[in-house]
Amino acid sequence: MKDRRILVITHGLFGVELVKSVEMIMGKQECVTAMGLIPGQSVDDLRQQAFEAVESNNKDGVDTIICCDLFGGSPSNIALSCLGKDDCRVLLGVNMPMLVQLVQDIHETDDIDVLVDTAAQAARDSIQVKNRRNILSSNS
Amino acid sequence: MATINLARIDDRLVHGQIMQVWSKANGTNTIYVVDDETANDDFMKEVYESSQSTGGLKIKVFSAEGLIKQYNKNKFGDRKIIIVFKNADYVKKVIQGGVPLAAIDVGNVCSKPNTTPISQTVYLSAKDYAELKDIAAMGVEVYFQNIPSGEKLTMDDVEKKIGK
Repeated sequence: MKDRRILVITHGLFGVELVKSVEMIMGKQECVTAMGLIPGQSVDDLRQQAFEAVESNNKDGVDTIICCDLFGGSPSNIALSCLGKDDCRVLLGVNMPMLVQLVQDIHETDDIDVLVDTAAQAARDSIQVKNRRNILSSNS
Repeated sequence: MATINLARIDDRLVHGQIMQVWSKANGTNTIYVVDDETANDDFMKEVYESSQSTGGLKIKVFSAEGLIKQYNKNKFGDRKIIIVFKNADYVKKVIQGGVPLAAIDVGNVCSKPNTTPISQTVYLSAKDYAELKDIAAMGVEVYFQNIPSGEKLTMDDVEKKIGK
């Protein structure tokens, strides 16, 4: 099985902090890095950094999984442009359950497409609306 | 007749602010992107043109020359359009090529060496500033606003900041 690395790209420091939050639960993660796009910063420079990360993973024989916050935003534009250079995987709409699931399975799941699909499903399934009524009824 | 809801210089092209906020106003149904480099990059062109997930928005990428051709062909039909330019140079070109722009918003111009900060998201070089002055001199209102709820600066405000 090829090794994998995760690259989180978001608006502002959301992704950088998200990785720290995930590490509070899952422990230090060597396979995850994050990049944040700051107002006034060049998108072209950040794209170049992302290309370099993907290329260096490639050289190391490692697959890249990129997680971004918002489809259509600059971080997702950057991630999708990486697909033009490399056969990586891109997950949009990153949240904490997605990243926790990825980190949990990253060395366990053989098929990278199963790995990312499972993480995407975990992200979807994690979203719930709770109120007094549905909490009480699930107890009865 | 076509309506240009917004013409904007934004070096991030189509991104979160455009998709989530600007495009949701005034019945916008089309975004034209003007950037020669993206227009000549089939993969990136496809990335932008295929990202029209929010309610049937049509996105097309043109070179500056291509936008002028499109305008001459059908005056943009009856579309309600946002035009996003990579830089001021393309804006000048298309106005000179006959595309009528009443106003141009300067939304995102990233920080580079030898640029002056105008706002949190706009940094102008001497060349950018000269081009914007040329555009204003053609009778186009030049203003600086990142998002609709944010502060709007005029060319006069910017002149004071640049100090000329």
